[in-house]
Amino acid sequence: MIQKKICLIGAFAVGKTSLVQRFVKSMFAEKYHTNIGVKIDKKIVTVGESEVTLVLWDLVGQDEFKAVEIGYLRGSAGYLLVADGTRRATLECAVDLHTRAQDAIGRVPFRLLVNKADLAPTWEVTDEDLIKIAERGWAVGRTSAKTGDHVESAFVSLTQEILQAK
Amino acid sequence: MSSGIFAELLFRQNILILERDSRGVFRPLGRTPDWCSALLPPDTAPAGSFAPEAIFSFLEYFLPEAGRFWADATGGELRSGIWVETNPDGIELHLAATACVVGRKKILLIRRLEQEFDQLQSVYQKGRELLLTHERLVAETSKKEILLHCIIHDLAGPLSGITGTLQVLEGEELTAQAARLVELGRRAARQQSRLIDDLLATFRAETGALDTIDPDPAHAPDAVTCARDVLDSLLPAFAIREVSGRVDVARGLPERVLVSGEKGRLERIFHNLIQNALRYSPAKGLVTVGFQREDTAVRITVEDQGEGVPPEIVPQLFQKFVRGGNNRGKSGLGLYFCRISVEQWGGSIGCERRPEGGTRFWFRLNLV
Repeated sequence: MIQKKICLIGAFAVGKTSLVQRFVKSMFAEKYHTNIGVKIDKKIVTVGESEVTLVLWDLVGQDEFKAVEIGYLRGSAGYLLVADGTRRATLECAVDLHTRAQDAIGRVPFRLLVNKADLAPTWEVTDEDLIKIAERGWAVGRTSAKTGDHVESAFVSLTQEILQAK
Repeated sequence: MSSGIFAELLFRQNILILERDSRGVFRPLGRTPDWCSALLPPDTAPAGSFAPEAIFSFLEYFLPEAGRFWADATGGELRSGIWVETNPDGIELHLAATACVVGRKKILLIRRLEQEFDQLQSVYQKGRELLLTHERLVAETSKKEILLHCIIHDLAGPLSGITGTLQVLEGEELTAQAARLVELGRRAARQQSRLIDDLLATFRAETGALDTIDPDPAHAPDAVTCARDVLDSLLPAFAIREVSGRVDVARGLPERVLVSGEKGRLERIFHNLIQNALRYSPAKGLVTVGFQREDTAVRITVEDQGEGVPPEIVPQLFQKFVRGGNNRGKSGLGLYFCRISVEQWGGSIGCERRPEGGTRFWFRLNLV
């Protein structure tokens, strides 16, 4: 069976762990529970006629106390940059992490997921911000780990791109 | 102490001990801790061998580093970060690995962290919750400042109506008492208008951080002309207080001292600093605005001959809403406005007591 490593990186409290939980276990916990290391989960997805085991590395979020250990991306077939739509600074953090990721592992497929779409009325990230980012050729998605909106499709579409890029 | 006792001690510490042989495969030493027995292949203990990275995905990252460490090891140990894997029963295991060399044996220890992890997690959890609270408070404050700006703006509207009405009244035939009252009313309206201008200018400077400099050098303000214009506009006030004003431009500066900044705000900075100097000047005193070149910048000073600023208040002078004892009716934003403007233009600002008496405010701006 094909196995692919995918990392999730972003600022702290943007919902990386919640996205993995939603995708792997179809669960969502309202209370924020911070991750302090690398959390590894697996899920088998079917893409076309291929069964792929995704090994999901949920990396500790970037903050004043801890920088993302970018070396953990080594061996990744792709990555998900996660930002929180209600906190504009997390979008800037995602852009910065993308640069660091590319420096570390080169060009591999990735997606920007702007999470917390269920809180859209309180978003600081604007449509214009996302249009500007999409103009760079980035694939951008609005997700909600809470409702599950666009979560599965984000992981699956990244997997498809990884398989095509092979 | 025998190696068997060591292995038993490590077992009790929840540590899985693996030895790496010359082919690069691992076999467990001693007893397997309960937490990992369900993870290991059934034929591993005690003599079987296996690839631990097939069980612990994280080791795909750590083992290449450990391999280099074992090859070069001169002592010590190599520790991994913490990682979390889920066992077949759905239980999360918080793990950390250590590579070391014991005798000639290449040893990999994998430890399940329990209380240690909980304590660390609790510290990070609290720290990050505090950061989130701080971010929310900053966002709330920002919204309130915008609301405040709207309110102040609305307050300014009726004020021009009041001023206009008083101006019309002034033209009427009034008794001496009524004329005095109208003049008092106009003075109060002017004072309130200045306060509102200060508040609005500060708000604009705080929120306009990204578009404060016109990149076209043709639009760069001439600092000396700005200073002279402001000084001229304040001449009546200087005359009333019997204070003189002077502009000194040192040699080495170009004919037009063009600086990074925006004309309107630069004039406001001069206005604030010169008016401040005037306020603290003694009768017959002199306020001097000086210009000296400093490499690619110009240092601008505004000096008075007053009592001098008390050293203990200097560090707070450029903060928001700081007012000296003699500043009734002022917004406490004038010097704050000067600082944020100068800093946004890439300059710096400060204040010092002059050895010969009085106060010297200075700011430095890049020449264009």
